[in-house]
Amino acid sequence: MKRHEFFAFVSPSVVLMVGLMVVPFLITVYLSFTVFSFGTTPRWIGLDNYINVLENRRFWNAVSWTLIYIAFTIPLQLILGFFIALLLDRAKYLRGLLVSGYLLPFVVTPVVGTLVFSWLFKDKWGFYSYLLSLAGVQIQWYGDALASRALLIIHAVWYVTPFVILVLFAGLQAMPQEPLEAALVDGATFWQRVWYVMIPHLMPLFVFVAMINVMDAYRVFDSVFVMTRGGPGSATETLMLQTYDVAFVQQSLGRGSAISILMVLGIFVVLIPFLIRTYHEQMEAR
Amino acid sequence: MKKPTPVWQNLALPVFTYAILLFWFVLAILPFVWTLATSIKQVVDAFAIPPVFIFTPTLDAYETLWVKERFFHFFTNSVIVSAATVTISISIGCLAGYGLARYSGKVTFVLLLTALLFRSLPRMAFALPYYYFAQLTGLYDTQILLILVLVSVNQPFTIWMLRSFFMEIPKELEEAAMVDGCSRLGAFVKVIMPVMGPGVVTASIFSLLLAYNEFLLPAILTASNTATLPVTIAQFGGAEDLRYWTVTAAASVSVALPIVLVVMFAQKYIVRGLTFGAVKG
Repeated sequence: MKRHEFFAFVSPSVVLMVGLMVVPFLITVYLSFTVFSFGTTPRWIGLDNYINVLENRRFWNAVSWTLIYIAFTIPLQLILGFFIALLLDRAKYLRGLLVSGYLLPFVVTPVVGTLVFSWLFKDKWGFYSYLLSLAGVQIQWYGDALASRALLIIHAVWYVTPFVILVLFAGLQAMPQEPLEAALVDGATFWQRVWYVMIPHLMPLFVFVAMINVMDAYRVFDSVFVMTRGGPGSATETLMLQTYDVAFVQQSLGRGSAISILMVLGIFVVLIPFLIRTYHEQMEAR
Repeated sequence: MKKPTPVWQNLALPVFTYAILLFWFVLAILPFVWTLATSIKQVVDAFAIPPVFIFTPTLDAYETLWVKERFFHFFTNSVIVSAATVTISISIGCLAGYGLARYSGKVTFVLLLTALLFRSLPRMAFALPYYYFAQLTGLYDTQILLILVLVSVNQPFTIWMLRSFFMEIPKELEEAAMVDGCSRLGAFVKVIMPVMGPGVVTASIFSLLLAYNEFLLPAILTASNTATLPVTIAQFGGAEDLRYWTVTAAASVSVALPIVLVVMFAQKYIVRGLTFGAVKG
């Protein structure tokens, strides 16, 4: 393909992405250095927004909760997901049905999935709350700060583990049989085969899934907005929720933009190794 | 000398395997099943403690939802926005994906990586100015801007995926057509696209899911006129009046049902799309 043909083919897509993602992103960068609310003209204030945000306790609360959320959800998703994928790989019957069911939490509209999940934990009449009360356990899932955080983590495990199951299951299915048979001949137990043969083989997939899940957990919004709206108090306010609140509810777009840009800088920690890895893969495949 | 495995051990493993798999299956679907049951209960039964499992079903909640509420209006909005997003996404995505698959200059990789970068950024990093832009141009609460925004947000994933499908098609196919006098575009339309079925279906399903499920962007860009279902239902769910619970449950079922159907009939494509980027082929 000639160069001019290439540009002709990609231009509609590129024009749209530049117009609605790259340019708005640059505007956000600009706004982060200004005081601005809807209906006014932006006024340049240099780094003041950043200084204000970084000195703000509420910002660091959101940072720490977002990091806690990531630190708990990702390992739980990976361990549970791998365990289920391993069992699914051994199951001969009902696979199609099981996979359909597993897929539901992940593909149904997140707002709806979160709502139907959250009802089960409502005080008294929620089904899970009811079951717990039979065991003599009373937890204020929406009133207690720690319980609300735990609930959001449980939700994230319910919601995202299906994705881990599917990717790892696909990896197990595509695994060459020779090393496993060799291990079997050598008298390796099932768990030895898992630990010494399967996990090393699946390592690239673990890394891939972990990266995607970290990035998604970092920008979690829908589920927190629907379930707790950051409450009680601001115990479950994630960074994205705070950005939304500052920019649209308090109408300080400049400060909201500054938080956004700080979030972008934060995600680079994970993103840059990911981009480098992808670049190398693509160059090799070329 | 190896001892023969006792019978109970041969049985224990499959039993254990299926017990865990079914347990997770129940955990995964229980919230949906429970909601389905709630949506056909009388309000009294819905809040009964302990929960009632035998009740007289009623479709009152659905009647309220579809007839008295404006749910049909929002449902139509979602259908229009999703259909338009898929059509535009796939059209321009196929053009770009094909270009990216067949030309491998440096610019190709810069483009692919930039797309990936924007796919990974928190939405807020570029969604903040949308509201202002929408007000300024008079496109606030219209479907046009929402559709264009959804298409562009969806492009990075779409072009990466379609590119991988195009790369599986041998170059010789279009080269033969071009020797026979076809133009590049002609070869693309007449020779390449007809064999792109699976790729187009997979990418369409994922565009559809994104457009139909997205909450934040329509929440920023729409109001009572063009709001889509996720925005509408989030407002329902926020309502404090608990007598409305059965109606919200009916709304949840109505929103989830089309997706359940997609999962049932297109599981193969969904699995392929979800594992795309992780597992080759």
